[in-house]
Amino acid sequence: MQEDFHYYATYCAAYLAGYSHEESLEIAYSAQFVDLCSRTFLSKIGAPLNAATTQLQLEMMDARTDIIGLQDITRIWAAFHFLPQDLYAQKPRRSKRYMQKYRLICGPNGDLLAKTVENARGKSLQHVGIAMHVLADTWAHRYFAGTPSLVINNTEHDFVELLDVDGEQVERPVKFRHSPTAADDLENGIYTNSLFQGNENSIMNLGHGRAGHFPDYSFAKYRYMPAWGDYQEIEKDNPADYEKAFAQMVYAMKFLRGELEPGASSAGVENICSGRGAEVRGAAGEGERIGSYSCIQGARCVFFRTGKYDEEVLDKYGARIREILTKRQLIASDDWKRFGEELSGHTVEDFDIEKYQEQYVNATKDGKDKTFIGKFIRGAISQKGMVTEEIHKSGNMHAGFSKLKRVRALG
Amino acid sequence: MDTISKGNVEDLGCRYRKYQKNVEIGGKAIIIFGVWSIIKFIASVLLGQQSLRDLLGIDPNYPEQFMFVLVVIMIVLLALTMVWHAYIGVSAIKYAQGLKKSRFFLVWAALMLVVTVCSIPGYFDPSNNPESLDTVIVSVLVDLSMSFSLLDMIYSSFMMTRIKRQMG
Repeated sequence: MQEDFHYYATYCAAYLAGYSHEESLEIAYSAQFVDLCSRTFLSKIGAPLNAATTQLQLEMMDARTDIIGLQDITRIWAAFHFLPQDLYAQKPRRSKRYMQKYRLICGPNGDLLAKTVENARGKSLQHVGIAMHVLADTWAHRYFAGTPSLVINNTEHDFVELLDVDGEQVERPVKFRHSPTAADDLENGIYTNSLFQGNENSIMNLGHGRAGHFPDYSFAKYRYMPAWGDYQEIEKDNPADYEKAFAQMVYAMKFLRGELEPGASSAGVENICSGRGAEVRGAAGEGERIGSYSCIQGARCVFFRTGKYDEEVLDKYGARIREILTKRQLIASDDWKRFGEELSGHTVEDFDIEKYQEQYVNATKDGKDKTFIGKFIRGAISQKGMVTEEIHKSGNMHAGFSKLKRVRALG
Repeated sequence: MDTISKGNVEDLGCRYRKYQKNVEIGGKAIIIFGVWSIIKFIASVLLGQQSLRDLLGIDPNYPEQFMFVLVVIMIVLLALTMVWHAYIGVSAIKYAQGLKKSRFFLVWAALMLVVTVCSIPGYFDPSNNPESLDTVIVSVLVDLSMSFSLLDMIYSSFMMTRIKRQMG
C-alpha cells in the first residue's frame, strides 16, 4: 500500500475507532513510517539498525543473497509488509525447501495477524501504528511472499485488468515495461514491473515486483497467474480488499483501546484469564483457531478475532470509502485527507519524515526510548522478534531466529 | 472479493493453461535445439579434429570446385534445418498463444521426432572414433531431450484441443 492508505486512511480509521485527532496522527505517522524506516535513515540519526522496517532500493541492490542475507531480508519484509498467513500450510508433493517459502505467502486473517495485534495491546501508539501497517498490507500484498523467491513470487506475463465500463466488466490486457522512473499510464494500461530474473533468490523476486504496483492501487481489479498457483488464475479485487482492510483496522484499534466486549470460549462462557494465556478454539467451528487470549490475570479474557470487521463504520461511511477506493488515480491521498478532515474537523498535516528526527537525535541516551522514534523502534523490534520467532517455531529457517524478549518486558 | 475459482471448469482451465505452457516451452526448446545443431556442426568443422572433407568422406583427389559445391549444399541444408526447427517452434508458440489455429506444424514435428529417434542408434556405430565418446554421450542426451520436447509438444497440443472441446 501507499501513503494514501497507510497515512491518511489509517488516520481516518484511528479517529473512527475513537482515538483523538493527535493520537490518530501519531498512529498514522507510525503506520506510514514503517515504509521509510530504513537502515540508512536509522544510521543517520544514530538509532539501532536492527529496528529497520524496510529496505531502500539501494540497500537491496547491495544486499547479500546468501543464507544470512536472505534471512535478513525475510525478517524485515515478512514481519512488516508480507505477514505470512499460514506458517503450517500443506501442499502435496512438494519438497521441504519449496514449502518453507510457500508458507511465507502473505494473506489476511492469519494467526500471525492476531499475534501482531495482540502484541500491540497495552503498548504505545507507535506500536499500534506498526500493527495497522502490517494489517493493511496483509490485504494488499496477499498472494506474495516477503522473501526473494522466483517459484513463489513470479507471475505469468499475461496480466488482465478488469475495468468497469458503463456498468459492465471489460477485460484489458496489461502492458508491462521495465522503467522504474516512468509513472504508470492508467489510461493506456501501461505499467512498470520488475524484470524477470531466473535466479531463484534474486532480490528482484522479492514481494510483488512482478505485478508492479497493482497490489498498491486501491482501484485496481486484475487477473493473473502466480507461480505458486499450479496454473490457477487469481482475480484480485483491491477495492473490496481495501474496504475490508479499513474496517478491520477500525475493529483492531477498538480492540486495542479496550472497547470491545470480552471474548467467549467455545462453550459460550466468558473465561477468567489464568495469566498464562491460551489459544481459543471452536466457536466458529471445531478446532478452528479464532483468537488468542490477552493476558490480564484475573480479568475477563479479551482476544482479537480475525475475520471481524467494523460493520458500523461500513454502514455509515461505506459509500464514501468505496468512492475513494474505486477512483482511478495513482494516489488517493487528497481524497483520504479530505475525508479525515471532515471526520475530525482538524487539519491533517502532511507526512514529514523529519518531524521527529531532532527530538530523537537531541535526546539523552536514557531519554531516547521516550521519544516518538524511540517508541517506534521498540515496537518495530518487538514486532520483528515476534514474527521471526513464530517463523522459526514453525520449523522454517528462512527468517533465522531471534532472541525473543518477553513482550511484557518491552511494554 | 478476490476469487480463486474452484470446481470442474476451473480445473479444466488449469489443465488447459498447463498444456498451453508446455506447447509454448516446447516450441522455444525446438528453436534452441535448431540453433544448437547449427553451432555444433560449425564448431565440429572449425574446431574439430576432422575437416569437412573427412566428415563427408570425400576422396582427397576430387577437385576443389567439387568441394565448393558441397559446401554450398551443406550451407543450404543447414539453413533448411534451421528453417524446419524455426517453423515448428514459432508455430507452436503461436498456437499456444492463440495466434494460430492450424496444427499442421505437428506433422513436421512428428517427422522430426521420427528422424531424431532413428538417428540415435547411429551414435553407437562401432566404427566411430572411441576417443569421441564424450561427444557421443552429450549428443545422445541432447537428441533424447529434443525427442522428449517434441513428444511433449505433440501430446500437449492434442490435450489442448481435447480440453477445449470439453470446456465447450
